[in-house]
Amino acid sequence: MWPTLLAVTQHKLSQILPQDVEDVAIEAFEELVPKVHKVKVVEELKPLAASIAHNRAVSVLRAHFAAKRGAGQTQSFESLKGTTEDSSETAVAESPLDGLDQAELSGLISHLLTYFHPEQRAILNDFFFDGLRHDQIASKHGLAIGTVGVYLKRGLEAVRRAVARQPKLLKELEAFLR
Amino acid sequence: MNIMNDQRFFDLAMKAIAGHAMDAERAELDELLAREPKSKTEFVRLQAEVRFMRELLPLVNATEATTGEFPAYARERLQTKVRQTLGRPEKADQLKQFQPKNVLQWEQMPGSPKYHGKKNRRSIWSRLTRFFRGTSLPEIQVGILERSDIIRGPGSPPMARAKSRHEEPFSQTSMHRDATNLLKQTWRNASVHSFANTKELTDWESESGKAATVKIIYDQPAGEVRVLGEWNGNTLNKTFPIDRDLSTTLKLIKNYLDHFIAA
Repeated sequence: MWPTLLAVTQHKLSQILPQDVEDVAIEAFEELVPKVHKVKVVEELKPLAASIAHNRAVSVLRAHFAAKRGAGQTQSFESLKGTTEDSSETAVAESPLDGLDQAELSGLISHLLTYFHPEQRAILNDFFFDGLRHDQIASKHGLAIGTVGVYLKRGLEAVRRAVARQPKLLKELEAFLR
Repeated sequence: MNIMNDQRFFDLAMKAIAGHAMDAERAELDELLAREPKSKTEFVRLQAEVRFMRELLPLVNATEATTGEFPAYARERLQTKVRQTLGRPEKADQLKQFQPKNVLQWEQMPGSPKYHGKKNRRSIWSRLTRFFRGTSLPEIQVGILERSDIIRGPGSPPMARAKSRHEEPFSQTSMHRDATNLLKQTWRNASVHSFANTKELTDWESESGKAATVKIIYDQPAGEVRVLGEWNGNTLNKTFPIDRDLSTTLKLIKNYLDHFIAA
């Protein structure tokens, strides 16, 4: 459980608030404890932990930006974007997932965990994270270049289906389209 | 052309979004975007979905992360929180509201998955409470004697002498298979060691292993199960006679071990 919490807080905070990574993960762990009884199967625990850690990290980032401006008020990333010298930081911190509550985010993670098999996830990571080109991914996994595109398309279709199932997610996506 | 389902458009769009598109590919995409009115909307949508994916994938990956150890300085704080929330093992009343019975009620609500059996829920509860009371579990090892006819000499308990009359190696009997299965079912993650004779078993039993290890020795000829090991600085050395049957004894041991580990 701890590696999951730490991985999420590292992802969200390591660039802007690296000193808070561990503290926020510990707080997320404490927040997880009273929510354990809501879990129906053990497999739901880690997605729930990841969503708690994510939302906590987002709150910490918001508080950080608010404090930096001396307002003492939390603000949406959207309102901060492009308005100050910190726009590059807020751009890093901003996420289309920020408006989701824990249950919604946890459900989304569980859905994708079920859907993505390991090989597909490896290809998605290569493309979306490591920035590898189609031909590099094909060579790495011994696939035809066309197959890489098919994997990517299926991955995004899974996200699209997950979004369609949750009205709030759809709203978030539409907000990003505007 | 149905732009939504077109793999070529999708590939070009992905390359453009990732900044991997060559000039010719970019030109082909621009042409498609200009020609198909729906393609622009689809392209913008794909951009947003790529953002979603980039945010979601780390969270999905995080659920399988294995590195990092919970900081020692925060352990007490977390355990206090756990005690406040889940209660101590002996405080049955405090625990009651979280026990599987209530989990069953939640799962009987409309829309909840029906395939999670009662046993599974008990297992979840057990794993969760163990997990939160400590941060790990001891390693469980099971030792079984393979032969019954060479284990005990004269003066052995009656049960041992009776079994020694069997010509068939114990490892090939259905009794041995049943016992092994029962032990494996009781401690699913345990490593099982089989021994051909008493000496091997005794050597293994007296081996000083890792600190967080519990050994469970099924001594069928002696009619007993021995449990020994060490966990959280506490030493464990207890013998459980098989009074009724192995299944009942293993349940007793499991219950005993659960309390020993949680304490």
